[in-house]
Amino acid sequence: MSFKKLITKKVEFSASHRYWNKNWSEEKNREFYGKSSLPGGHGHNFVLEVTVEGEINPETGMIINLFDLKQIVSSVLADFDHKNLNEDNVRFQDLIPTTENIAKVLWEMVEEKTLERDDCRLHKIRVYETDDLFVDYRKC
Amino acid sequence: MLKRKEQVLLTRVFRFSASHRLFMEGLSDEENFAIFDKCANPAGHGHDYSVEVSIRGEIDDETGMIVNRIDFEKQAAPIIEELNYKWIDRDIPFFQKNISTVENIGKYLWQKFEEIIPGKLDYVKIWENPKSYFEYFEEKRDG
Repeated sequence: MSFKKLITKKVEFSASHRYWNKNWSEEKNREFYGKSSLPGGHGHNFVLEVTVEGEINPETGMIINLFDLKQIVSSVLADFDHKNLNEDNVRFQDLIPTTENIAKVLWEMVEEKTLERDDCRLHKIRVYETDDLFVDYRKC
Repeated sequence: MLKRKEQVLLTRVFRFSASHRLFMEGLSDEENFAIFDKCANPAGHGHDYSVEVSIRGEIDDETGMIVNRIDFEKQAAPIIEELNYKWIDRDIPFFQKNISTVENIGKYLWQKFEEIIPGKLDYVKIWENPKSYFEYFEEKRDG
């Protein structure tokens, strides 16, 4: 019998974003995105959950040291925490920072780091925009 | 590397508070109590329900979303509002014929949400209280 082993680290970040498609008129943006399209943007206390999979190292009893995982996540979040995602994060210059796209970008950035390691692979990214709305993203 | 496929789920959590009673028509209060225990209390009881509605889809390049959220919120609100602050068994026709267990409420909500976003539901998870929940999804779903 084989087992899947997943370990998850949860980290908060606070950021603002604005839903705005630059190829659309202001009216169309307002109609499609509602108040999320207002000019100043708005913010959330986002919560990111990063789940990795791997084998339990018999020597350490761990898949990955959670301090290492936290460090990976924190380094990725440097461009997210206390930032305006539309203006401060280059990844969103041509990509609307919807919760779906935030999850996608975080997957790409965390995976770049986990690919450098041989102990774990990225399994899933979950981004909570609020308690009532979250996105799960994975590529497989 | 093999071409990989994106799997994206957007989950919205709705909350409602409602009263209900678990009982079978035609049985005495004693008989109902023997089956449903305190949930058969004749005057009913209530819960703060919380429902996770999970939508599966691809991120649209133009909108950055997997579903038009404004439309979805507009269509979802009356589904939840119909239950909020109601006595489920008395006020909702479906539960005049189906016992208002958390399983049946979950199944009912799946059907209601399936009508507004056909083919895009991944799962419905309903919490009756913070300690018990019911999940409902099509078996073809992986994991």
